[in-house]
Amino acid sequence: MNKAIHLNLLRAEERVSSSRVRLHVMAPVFAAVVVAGVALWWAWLWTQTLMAQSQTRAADDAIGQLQAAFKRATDTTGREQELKQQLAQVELYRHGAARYGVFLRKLAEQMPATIQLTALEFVEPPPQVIAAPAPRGKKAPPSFGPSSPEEPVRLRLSGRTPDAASLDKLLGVLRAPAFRETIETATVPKGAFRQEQDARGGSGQEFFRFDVECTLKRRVFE
Amino acid sequence: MAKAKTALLKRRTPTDVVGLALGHLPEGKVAAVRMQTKGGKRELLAAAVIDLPGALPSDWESARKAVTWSLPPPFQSPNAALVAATPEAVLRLTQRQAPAADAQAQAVNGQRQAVKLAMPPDLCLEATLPEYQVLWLSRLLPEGHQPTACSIQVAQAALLNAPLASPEFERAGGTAVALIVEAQRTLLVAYQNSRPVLVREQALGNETVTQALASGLGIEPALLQSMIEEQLVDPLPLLEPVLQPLFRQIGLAVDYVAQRFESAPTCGLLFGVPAHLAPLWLTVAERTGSALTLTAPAALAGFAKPRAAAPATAEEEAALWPAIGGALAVLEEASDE
Repeated sequence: MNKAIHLNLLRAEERVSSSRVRLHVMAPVFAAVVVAGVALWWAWLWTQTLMAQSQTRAADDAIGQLQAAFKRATDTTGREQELKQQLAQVELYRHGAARYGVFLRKLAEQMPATIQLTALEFVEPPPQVIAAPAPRGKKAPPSFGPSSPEEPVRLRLSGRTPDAASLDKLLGVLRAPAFRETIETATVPKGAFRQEQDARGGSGQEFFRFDVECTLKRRVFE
Repeated sequence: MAKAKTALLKRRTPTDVVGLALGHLPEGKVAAVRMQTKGGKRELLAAAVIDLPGALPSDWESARKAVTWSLPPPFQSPNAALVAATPEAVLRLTQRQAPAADAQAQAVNGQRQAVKLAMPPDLCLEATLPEYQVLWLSRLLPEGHQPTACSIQVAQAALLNAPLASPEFERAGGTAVALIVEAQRTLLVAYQNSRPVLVREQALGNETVTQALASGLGIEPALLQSMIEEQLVDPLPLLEPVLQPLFRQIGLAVDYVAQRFESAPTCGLLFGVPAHLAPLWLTVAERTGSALTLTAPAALAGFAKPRAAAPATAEEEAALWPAIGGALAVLEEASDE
């Protein structure tokens, strides 16, 4: 039990704290610190959001640039493939090129004097359209090239002669070892040796018109 | 906010209080004691008369003058009990509805009033001080500096607690009669179980006695102390007729307590009498059949460490009692919580 008489004339609300940390000072300070903290936090979040948005835009731009670059690279790769294939074809043709200059010069030298050639034609198969390999999703451009690794070559000689012996002589020349490197076979197709009458000049002289079919060495595309 | 602050302050139980007594000494001087409760034991850490500016205002106009105090380091405890002795201060017994335990002081007609159930049967003690004086006192000790005011008391009420500091009072079980002598008056208080059950105020104090002796001896009051100490005169024949009415009141008080509470006070205590007059008071008391024991602040054996500086004069020593009473009121209330 309280022994002392304490008649306190000071009201509780009039009491002040002796502490240097005062409630009515610290409360606003604390509130201000909290508000400042929240503001800083929001500012930090806002900055982070702005940075994230900026990074996203930069990433989008980079992706756009990369996509364009990827498209260009893809196109370039496709074009490169196409060109490589064309180069390969050119290389094939270079390998498969048949050179007849020497052959024709020899043929001219050894041609019988009684033979008059009216036509000399190399009969080759018509060029084939081959679809070259194309990049995925792309339509292949038309490309020309051989239809098979080997291609037969035929030579057709047309002419006239006054006698059949000249033709035999020509066949003998064509079948001679000198032309074996170039000509595999030389034949006169059935019905290709026929007798005709010269109507020019009104002489009425008879002669023989002939066709010789030669099978030349095959062109090899390697 | 204000409620939270009030609750926060109420929760704090002061264990370290400085008591400041204003109005007992000439203007600019304040009696100060610092008391502490540690481990259930009270200590008087310091006691002195401090020079502090300002005097209790006498009206609203003078109360507007702001005065702030800064106490020397030995008195910088967290809490201060301000004890005011002014002619406007009133302490009286009333028979009224007992206030609630936590009732606060009320402002009534420009006066600040505090009421407490003090004495049976249903008698309340009512202390009143002008509102402007309370407001002036409440602003004396600024916030954020030690100490700040936790209590404002009138001197008469604070003095009722002074005997609680006496070891003789404690040994008597709190049933005693105390004479608390001030300059112009003397409080006669009878205690039953440490609670005051009777309060009488006599218009006789140290100055009255000194004046009576000086005029009887035909000397200046200032010379009285040296003459008594040098035993040049025997003032007892002059003192006895002055003090006898007061001591007869002691007998009446003892009879009242004995009849009312069936246990008579066996201990008589004397407070506030200057050292050169104290033997005369005790002799007169003995001749009138009242055994009194003088208690001086510097010799309070109940305080474990009386590191207090002894006051310079008897007047200053007497002024320490209201300061002690004021501080004790706060400490006892805190220990009661």
